[in-house]
Amino acid sequence: MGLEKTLRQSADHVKESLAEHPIPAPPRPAGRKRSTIAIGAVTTLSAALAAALLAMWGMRVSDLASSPAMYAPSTAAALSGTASPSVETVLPVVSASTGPEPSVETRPPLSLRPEDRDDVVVYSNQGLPPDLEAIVRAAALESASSANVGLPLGVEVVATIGTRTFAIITVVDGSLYPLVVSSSGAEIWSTPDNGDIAVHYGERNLGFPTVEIVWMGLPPDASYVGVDFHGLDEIVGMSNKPVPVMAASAFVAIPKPYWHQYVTLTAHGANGTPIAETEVLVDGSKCSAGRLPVVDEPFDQLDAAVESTRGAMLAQTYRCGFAAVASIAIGDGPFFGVSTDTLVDELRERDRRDALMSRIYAALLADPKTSTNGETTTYTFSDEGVHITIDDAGRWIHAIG
Amino acid sequence: MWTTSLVDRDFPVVRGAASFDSFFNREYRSVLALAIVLTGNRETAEELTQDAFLSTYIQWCRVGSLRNPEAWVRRVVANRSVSAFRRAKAEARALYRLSTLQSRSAASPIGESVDVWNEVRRLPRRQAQVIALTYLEGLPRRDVAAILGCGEETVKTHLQRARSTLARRLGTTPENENGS
Repeated sequence: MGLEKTLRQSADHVKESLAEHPIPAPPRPAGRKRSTIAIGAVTTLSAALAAALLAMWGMRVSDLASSPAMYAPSTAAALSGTASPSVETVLPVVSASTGPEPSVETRPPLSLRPEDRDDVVVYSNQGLPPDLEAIVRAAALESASSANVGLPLGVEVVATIGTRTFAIITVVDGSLYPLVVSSSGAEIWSTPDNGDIAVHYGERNLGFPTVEIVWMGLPPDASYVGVDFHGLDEIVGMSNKPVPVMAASAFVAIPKPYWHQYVTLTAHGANGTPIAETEVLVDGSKCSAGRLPVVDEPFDQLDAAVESTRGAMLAQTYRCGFAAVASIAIGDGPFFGVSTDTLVDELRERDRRDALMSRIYAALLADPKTSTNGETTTYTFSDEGVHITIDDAGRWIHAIG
Repeated sequence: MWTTSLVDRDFPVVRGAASFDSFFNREYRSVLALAIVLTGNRETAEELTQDAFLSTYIQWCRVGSLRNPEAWVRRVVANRSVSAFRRAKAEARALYRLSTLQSRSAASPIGESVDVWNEVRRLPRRQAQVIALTYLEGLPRRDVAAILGCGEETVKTHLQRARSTLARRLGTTPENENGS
């Protein structure tokens, strides 16, 4: 066959394969710019009110200073003079609720407000029973001191969380109420979209997730959640990989949204038995194009002894874009989660990140019981400042970079 | 329908989102096809196509008033396919470690013609773009030149060299543009 005919036939083949291909909705830019403008406008207005607010703010700082133990160090530092009082006071409460103003009884118990460019402050709203507790589990350095501890909601400021990470804050009152700070730093939202599933669409941010799913209605005995991406058959490794359970919620970050893609979340118990399942439709057209990070080179440096862990790590890292949670499968054992989120900012230098991850794998493989108190196992890499705590069920609890 | 000539088209001056939507619906599949053959990966191609149309939308006030916005969006795809292809290669290397490369290839969006387009993608960047625009889009040399921002003679040279290389690699007979 001649070249001309071969090329034309190949071209026809491509066109025929797309003849029935659905045309998605026309792309539109994500709403980040609008948010930026809104925040800028509010900030401008707040500057005009700064003088009037300053007195009020000063009184509050003095009140808060009397009980510093309740606040994370960064929050206390911010409230003691480094944060802008006008921004803190005037910026609106972030809530996904678009209905009428909720009553005191029904409005969210927690709210988020930007503190500065990099942080948001978690506030408890008034009118709540003081015996409620908020459990903050965050992979952020900023919230390290307040992570994994119950905080009474009687205090106004619950925690300060970096926006370039994610945190799930659960109000323990018999019902779950997660607040999530997007790992992309582009958006924050605080209420579920439709009951027990929240889907957040973000703007493209190279290397960071653009679609995030939080499953709040997770059974309390779930150990991990399997994620199945329908419509992503070409990326086999991304499907059916577990994500860790955090604060009785599952967080799934998808760096590469597909056009209208169903995602099935399956909760598994400690013995691996499926105990609940839910499905959510991700509409990729709601965000601008996602990016898969190039994750090839970092793994070139890993020792051959950790070869068996590469698959799960790589697949999960694809999903999380180095920005959220990465799971590691150790042989046939439970899945471990390691937050690479903070490492992204802290370990921008690829060589150092490679070396750190390599050491983590090697240590986990060589001695998976580095230290334990009977309930949890902690892996410490002191010279790197990394601590990983995992309970004996293999459930990820805490990781600080 | 696939385009036959971009330069001769008489495009109205359009500015609104509605006209962009119409443009998008009309051109999406052919732009996607171009992206697929230039990147070799359907997912990457969809992302690339979405990116290109998003850029078009953002600049629609200007692009929509051009004589041939179709050429503009194709130029975006052609240019961005270079970096996208590099990234796709890195992904492929990574996926190879997952031993999923075989199934990935089996699920190729362009099936039996994959070998041909793989060889096209092995060509120098400009040659591959010229081949894709010429055979996939069926465009004459002047339209290809307009899209790639080069002269017709340059396109002709790329086309000849690409044909020669492809004929050797595919074991076919090199022919001229008319197929004779």
